[in-house]
Amino acid sequence: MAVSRIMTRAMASSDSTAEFAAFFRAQQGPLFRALLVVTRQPELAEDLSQEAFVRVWRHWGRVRSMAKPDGYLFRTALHLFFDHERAKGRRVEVDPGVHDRIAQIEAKSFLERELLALPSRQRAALVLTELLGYKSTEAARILRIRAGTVRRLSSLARRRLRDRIGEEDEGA
Amino acid sequence: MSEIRDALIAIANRYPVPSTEPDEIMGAENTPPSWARRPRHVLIAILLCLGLFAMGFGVGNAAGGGRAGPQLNVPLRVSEQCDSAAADVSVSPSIGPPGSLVDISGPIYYTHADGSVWVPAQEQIQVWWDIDPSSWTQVSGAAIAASEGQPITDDRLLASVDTRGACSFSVSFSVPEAPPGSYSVSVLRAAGTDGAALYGAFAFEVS
Repeated sequence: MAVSRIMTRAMASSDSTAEFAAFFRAQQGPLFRALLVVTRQPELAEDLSQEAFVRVWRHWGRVRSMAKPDGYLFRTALHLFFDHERAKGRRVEVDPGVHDRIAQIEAKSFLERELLALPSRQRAALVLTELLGYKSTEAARILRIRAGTVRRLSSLARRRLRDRIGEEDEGA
Repeated sequence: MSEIRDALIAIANRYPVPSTEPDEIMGAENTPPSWARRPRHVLIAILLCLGLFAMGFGVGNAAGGGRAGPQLNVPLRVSEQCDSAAADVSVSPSIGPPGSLVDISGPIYYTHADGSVWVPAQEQIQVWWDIDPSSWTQVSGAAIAASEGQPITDDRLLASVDTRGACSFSVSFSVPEAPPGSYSVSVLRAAGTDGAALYGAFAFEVS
């Protein structure tokens, strides 16, 4: 009886490991790419991505039973980034307005440069809804804000980009 | 504004996804990195509050038990020499409407059958839409030029990602505007003057 219980536990553990490995492989690319846009720094994106996966693995027993384990992963990673921003004494909501402040990703077009210059929360809202296809309610859960705020952040970002493109066209 | 989405995809694909294995994550004994740690004054304030709380309620050991977190021990860089592997394109999803996002990934290898290692000066994985995989060489000139950093106007090139030195790749593309039906998607490995090769191909169903 005891042997069978140990075997069952071992099998459950191996299932859990295989499940996490599959989850990791499926989410590694989307998470890294999302963090790349939000952080603008490849090395930071890599570090945050790994740290987020380590934290998810630590709580995998609980996370695996969630309806949206990927939501938990993205929430963990993005809040690690926002904590990082806060720790550096930077207010992430303030529009930086300066393109080359900390950006390490090379912008290859005017639109890319303007996207990378958006405040990080606006960029995060765009990444979640436009790049990853989350609904505003899902993105809201990830960012721990209201769905209306997600829509407002995305709309502010789009308006700003439209304005800047307009200014650029007039100047050309 | 689909151009915003396209720009997001372009930025997101600019760097190869790190080739970390799940085992490295599961085996990591971890401490939060310095940027993830709370500032010391916040910790002191928390401990002070706990101490006051404990005194108020007669709890003996509220401030004790500060457990050191595990150590971060995850290798962060890709190895220079990857295992020999067969080309193996993973696609998700393989069906979707125009504008939907598709992820492609697979291993990259640099070791020849004779054991020699070849790492090109430039290398890209490129995703081409609706070209005949059996005559992919028709676009090889453009593929090579793109891997050398030249601008490409051929809109059949959906996405590309620099992969030199990485042991795997992951790239996304947005399904182009096209009537419903099955379209071939060819994945090329282009390495500047070293040439290009067909990595793999698959059929994508536009719904």
